[in-house]
Amino acid sequence: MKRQIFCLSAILVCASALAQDVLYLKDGNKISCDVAKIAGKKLEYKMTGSGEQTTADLSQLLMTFFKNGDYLVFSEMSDDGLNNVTYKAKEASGTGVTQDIIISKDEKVFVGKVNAVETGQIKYTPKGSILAMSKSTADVAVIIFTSGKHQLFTSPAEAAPVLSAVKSRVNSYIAPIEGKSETEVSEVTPKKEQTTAKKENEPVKEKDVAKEKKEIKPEKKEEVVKESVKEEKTKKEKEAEEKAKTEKPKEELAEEVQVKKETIEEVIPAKEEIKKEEPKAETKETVIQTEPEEKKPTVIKEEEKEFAGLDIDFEMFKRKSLQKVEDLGAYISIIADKNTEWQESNKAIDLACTLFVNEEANVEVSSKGSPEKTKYKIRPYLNRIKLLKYDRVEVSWTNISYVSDLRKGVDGNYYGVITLQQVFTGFIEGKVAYTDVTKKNIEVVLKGYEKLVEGKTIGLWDVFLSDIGVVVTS
Amino acid sequence: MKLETVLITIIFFISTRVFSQNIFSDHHEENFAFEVKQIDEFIERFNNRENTLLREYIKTNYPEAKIDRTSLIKGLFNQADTTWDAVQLNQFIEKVTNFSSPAFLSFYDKDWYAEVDCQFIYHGEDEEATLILLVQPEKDGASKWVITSAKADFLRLPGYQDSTKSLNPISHATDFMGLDKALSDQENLLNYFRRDFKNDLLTAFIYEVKNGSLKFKQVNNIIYHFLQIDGWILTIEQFARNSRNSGWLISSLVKVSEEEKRMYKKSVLNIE
Repeated sequence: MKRQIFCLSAILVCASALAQDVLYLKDGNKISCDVAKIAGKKLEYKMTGSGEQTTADLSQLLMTFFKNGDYLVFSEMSDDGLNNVTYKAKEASGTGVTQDIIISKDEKVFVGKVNAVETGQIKYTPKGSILAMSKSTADVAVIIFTSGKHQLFTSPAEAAPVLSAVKSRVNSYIAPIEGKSETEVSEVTPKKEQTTAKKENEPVKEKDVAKEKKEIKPEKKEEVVKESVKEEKTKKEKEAEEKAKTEKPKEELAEEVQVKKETIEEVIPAKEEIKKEEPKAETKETVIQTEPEEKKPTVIKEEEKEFAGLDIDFEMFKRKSLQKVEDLGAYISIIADKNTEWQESNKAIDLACTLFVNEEANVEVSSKGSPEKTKYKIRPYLNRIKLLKYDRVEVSWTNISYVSDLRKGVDGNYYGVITLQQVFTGFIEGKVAYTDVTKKNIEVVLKGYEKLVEGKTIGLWDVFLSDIGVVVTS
Repeated sequence: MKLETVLITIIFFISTRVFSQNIFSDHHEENFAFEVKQIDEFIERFNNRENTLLREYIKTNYPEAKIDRTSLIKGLFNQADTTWDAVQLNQFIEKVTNFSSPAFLSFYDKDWYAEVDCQFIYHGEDEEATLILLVQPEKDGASKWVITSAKADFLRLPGYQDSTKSLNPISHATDFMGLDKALSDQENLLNYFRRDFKNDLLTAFIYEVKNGSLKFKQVNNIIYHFLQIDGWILTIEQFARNSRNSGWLISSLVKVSEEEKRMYKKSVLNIE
C-alpha cells in the first residue's frame, strides 16, 4: 500500500509539473505555458515563469495539451485544418475530464480511476466495475487524469497520431467547461479521423464494461470514395501495363506456372531464400486480378461502410470484437485467481457473461495432448474456471488475429468469426504449472438497435461474443 | 541485400522475442499468419484479395517478397501430399488465373457444399451420420446454412430379403387384412413398397430428430466440396498442424465433365 501511495504521489508530483498548457514541438522540445489564442495558423502563448508573450506557427507544433485535459494534435491536421483552428482562453476553474482516460498505443481508450502507476504497470478500476485491472506501461501512450494533467508513456511524436485517432472517443469524456475556452475544432479538416465525431456507437447493455471503450467513427465517406476511385484507376492502369508486359506465348506461360509434384511452392520462399534475394527495383506486386463483386447477399467488408441504416465500419467492428475478447481474457484471469474474493469472482462472472450475446453461448475446451473437446455453456464454463487449482492464471491473446467478413443472418444480426491464439498459463506458488496455446474460433454477433437522440431515432450497433470453438493442433 | 532490409528483419525478430510469451515463438506466430484459418480466408487468398492479414504480415516481415495470385493458390494446396498430378495442377491454376476469364470463388456461390461428419446418439447408441449443407440466400441480403442431404447407414431400410414375401394380388378382397403381417415384417419391409420408392434419408433423419430418437453429439470432421469452377471439383479439408502450410487446404483436385459432376453430386453428396 505504501508503495502505491508513493507511486500516486510520484504521479502527482510529476504531473503537477505539467499543470499548465503544454506545447509539444516537432523538434522534440516541450514548452509549459498559457495558451492565449489560436488563429490563422498561429498560436499565441505566455511562457510560464517569465510571462513572455510568444507566437508559434502551428506547423512547428506536434500538439498542445490544455489545462483542462483537452488537446489538439496539429501534426495530423491538413493545411486547411490548421487554418480553421481557433481558440481563445478564458478564466475558469476545474477541468472537463470526467474520468481518468488511458489511451493505449493501439488506439484503445480505457476510462475509469487510475489507482497507481507502478514500475511498468498501471493499475486502474474501469468505470462501472469494482474490479481493479492493470495495463503494462509499454502498451500505453498517454493517461489524461481527471485533474486535467496528462502523462506520456511514449515519445510525443509517437503519441500524436494515437491521440489524433482517438480524439472523437476522448471527447466523450471531456465535458466542455463553461467560460474556460472556446476551441473550434468542428471546422477543422483532419488528415485522419480527429474531427469526424458525429455520434458515438454505444453498447446495448448498461452493465457492459466494454461500454466505456467507445469506438472511432469511420473515415469520411467522400475520402473513401475518392480513394477507391483512385485505387481503381491505378489498378486499371497497372492491369494494362501488366497485360502488355506479361502477354507471352502460351507455351511460355505454361512453363511459368509449372508446378512439380514434390515442390509446390509456398506463398513466399523460406526466410533463408529471402535473405539471399537481391533487392529488386520492382518490389510491389502488380495485382492483375481482383476479387469479383460479391453477389446479392450482404457481406460487410472494409470498403462497405453503411448498411440497413447502420453505420457499420469493418475496422470498428474488428476493434470492438477484439476488445471484448481481451475483456474476456481479463475476467478469466480475475475469476481464476485464488486471491480474488469469492464475491468478486461471481461479479466478474456476471460481467463476463454480459460480453456474450446470451448465456446459451457454448465454449469448447481441449486439453494439451488430447484430441477430445468438451463443450460448456458460458456460465458453467466460467464457474469451472473459478475452481481451477492454480493460484493465478494468465490468459492472453497473441497479436495476430483473423477476422472474417460480416454476414447477415435471417434474424437481422450480422455474424463474423475471429480466429486467434490464446495463451493460457496457470501458476502454482509463483511457478508455471501448466501452459498451452490454443487456436480459438470466436463467433461474434453484431446487433443493431435504435436510440432516441435529441428527438431523432438513430441506428446504433454493438458486438457480442457467441460460441467459442477450439481447434486442436496435432 | 540492403542494409535497411537487414535492419528491419533484425528488429522484427528482436521485437517479437521481447513481446511474445516464452511459449509462443516467432515460429508459432508465423505459422498462424500463414495458416488458412477459415474458409473465408481460403476464399480471399484464392481470389487474391487485397488488404488481408497475410498480405499485411508479409509486407511487414518480408517487404521484398512478391505475392501474386498464382503463388497464393499454390499455397492453398496440401503440400504434405506428394501425389499431386503436376499436369492437372498446372491446368487448374492456368484456368483460374486466366487473364481474360479468371475464375473466382464467392461465399454465395451456388455449387459448394459442406460435408459434415457428425456423431449422434440414436436410441442410446453412438452412431455416425453425414450431413451435407449449403448456403441458402434469404431475403434482405441475409443468408443461412441449410441441410440439403443426409447420409446415415443406420437410417437405411434393409434391402430385399425374401422376394416371395408380399401382399398378394387378392389382398383387396380381404380388405387388406394382410397389412398387419406386412408391416410387421421388418426384414422384408421394402417388398411391400413400390419398386421405384426411394429411401429418402433426409426425411428419415428429420423424422428421427423430430421424435427425439436421434440426438446430436458433435462434429467429427468437415470436408468442403467446391463444384462451382467449370470443369473442376476440389475438396478442402482442415490440416491442423504446426506448419506454414496448414489450416483449410485443398486435399483433392479432379478434372471433370458436367456429367461427372452430376454423378459426383449424386454419389458423394447424395444430391439428385
